[in-house]
Amino acid sequence: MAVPDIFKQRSQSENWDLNNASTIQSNTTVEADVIIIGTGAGGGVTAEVLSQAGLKVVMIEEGGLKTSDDFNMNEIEAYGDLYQEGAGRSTKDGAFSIFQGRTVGGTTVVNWTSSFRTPTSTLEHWTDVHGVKGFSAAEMKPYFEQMEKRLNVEKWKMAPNANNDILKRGCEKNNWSWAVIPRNVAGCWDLGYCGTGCPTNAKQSMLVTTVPEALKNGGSLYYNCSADRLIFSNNKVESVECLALGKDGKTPTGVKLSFKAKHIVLSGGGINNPGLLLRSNAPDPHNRIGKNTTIHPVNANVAKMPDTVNAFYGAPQSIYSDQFQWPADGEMGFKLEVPPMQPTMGGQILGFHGFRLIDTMKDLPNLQATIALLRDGFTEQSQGGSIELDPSGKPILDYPLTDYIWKGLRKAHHAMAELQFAAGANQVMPLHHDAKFYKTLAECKTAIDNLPQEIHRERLLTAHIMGGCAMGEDERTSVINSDCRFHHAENLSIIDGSAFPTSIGANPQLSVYGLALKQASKLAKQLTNS
Amino acid sequence: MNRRSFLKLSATGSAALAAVGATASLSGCSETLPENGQWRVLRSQDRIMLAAIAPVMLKGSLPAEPTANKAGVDTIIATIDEALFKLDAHNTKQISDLFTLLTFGLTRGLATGVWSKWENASEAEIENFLNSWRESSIGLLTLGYNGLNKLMCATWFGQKEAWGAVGYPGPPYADILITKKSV
Repeated sequence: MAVPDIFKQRSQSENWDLNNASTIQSNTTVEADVIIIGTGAGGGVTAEVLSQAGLKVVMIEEGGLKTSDDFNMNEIEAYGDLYQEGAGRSTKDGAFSIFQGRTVGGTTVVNWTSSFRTPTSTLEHWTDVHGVKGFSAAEMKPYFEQMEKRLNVEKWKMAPNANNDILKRGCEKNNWSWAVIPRNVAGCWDLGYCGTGCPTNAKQSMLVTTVPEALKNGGSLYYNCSADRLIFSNNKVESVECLALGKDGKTPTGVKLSFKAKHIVLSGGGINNPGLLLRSNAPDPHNRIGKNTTIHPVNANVAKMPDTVNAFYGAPQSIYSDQFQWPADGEMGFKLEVPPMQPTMGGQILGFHGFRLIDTMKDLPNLQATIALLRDGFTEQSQGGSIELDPSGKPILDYPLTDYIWKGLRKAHHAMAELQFAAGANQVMPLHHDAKFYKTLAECKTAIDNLPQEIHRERLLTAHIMGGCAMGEDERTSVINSDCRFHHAENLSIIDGSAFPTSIGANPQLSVYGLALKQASKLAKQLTNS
Repeated sequence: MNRRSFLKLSATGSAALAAVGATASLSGCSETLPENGQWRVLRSQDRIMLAAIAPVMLKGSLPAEPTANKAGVDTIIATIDEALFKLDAHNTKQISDLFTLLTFGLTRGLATGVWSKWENASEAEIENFLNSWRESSIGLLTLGYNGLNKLMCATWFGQKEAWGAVGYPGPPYADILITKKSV
């Protein structure tokens, strides 16, 4: 409360049109110039740009509206309120935990603020292999620059917390490259609770930047409002049919909301966009919707350090290493970073019970964790996963682990062990069902080579869901064109991370912002001229 | 448990898991939860099962003192109920299959080696079950262990009462930044 809840304050002083679908009593039809489904990185920027062009936008959000007064650095509360499936989402076979936002502002409300431009090699790959046009580094540069300015993206100027400093120290000792992470924060308190919603509004998420701007410009927001179906007719989306969700944020109240506009934008992310299209029987002659979903598979090592780390405090990510990101031998590349380690996150990834669990958890203040984010989707041996619908019509991600990925995961465990021991770790444990803490690098490396490469034994997670509605000029291999226009309807765009033809090779938020700014600017011109 | 009986358990456990949907529905043992009741997902037999397993899963993490221990377990179960409610149909089905397997007498015995009812099961029996599922080479049992483990660890270590034992002082600037709910 000491920090003003700027969303609440502005909503009153600027008289924003906020609509909680839970409380709407009867079926309603809403008309606007543009309907945007989803309020995360893609939808937020699109809403800002289109509203600034004078278009009437309506934003639809399945999650609830939670603002800084609700963000209390409480993991259980935050996972339940702000994440898809209460942070319990997983891939079809349960191999990966999926962390994705579900709230006004989307994943930008709960991400760890790392803001990288799309690597040039990734953009070149999209151009060369996927035939995407307009995405050269030179063409994208002005969009990244503008978004960096808009969201105050700067390299973190304060000292890294001990968790990140160990990553830096390990890289220095091994003579590996490392750098400071640019973050989208303004007046950051260096708390460490980005993942539970920023209590000081320092994080420049969509919740405090673009969504308010769109509302100020006369836009409307409907939350607790789940997009159920797009109605296709005469090569167009005629309407978006939504279900009002009750106070529990999940159960439909029975009230139906119908949204009509001359243009529709999907920004619901790599799982929900394909889900909505599949549920709507969207035209898909080449069976491309929900294909090549990439996730930056993440594995981790935990180290016991001689000194206190307190990895639960301080800016969660401020140092990274791309030493292994673009290997010359064609093996899978990965980025090295660290995660914050609050006790819920820490406790549930260990996979121990009884005394072994508490013996590890009691050292929480001395634990350092390193993660590797593998760059998937770039080779024949790593084609990503696919989205399908469960019998209730909800999307599920089926993500197969190939030998190529297993090789990458093993290489990442080795690199992380080398890093942690070099930084002075007393003991290192790869996060795997059959691993324990090892006292020497040699012992640890031998163990890593012998860990069974089986799902449910390797601890895997993802927080970056990309692709599934890929851009491209050939409709046999893509869902949307290089302007993010759906190949098979005149008035439908898909603007967010689901448009990526591959993974990014870096935390993707700034890649989404840049893409959205580019595509929404073009769309604004087209819609205001017609 | 020796390796031989453990392997046998794994094999029967897997078969039991595959067959459980049919058996449980045929047996007519599934309870329908009353609407607007306290519980959204967990049936009474699920809560009894979780109340038996949680103190063993979290032995040493939960307070040893019986009243505090019981209060901790109650909190875990209530929080698990909330967490499961958030899941979509696919994961709900997985958990529901797992809980049915664990609460239906025959399959519980075959799959876990715990032949007495959960409320009567000994700590040693439950520990054997957790160890055997954790070490099982059958993916479904490992997945089942992981599911129980994650649910219990996440819902316990997120509670204030758990933090002292793991050296977590809690969120910083709590008096300034935590907004009390106006009830």
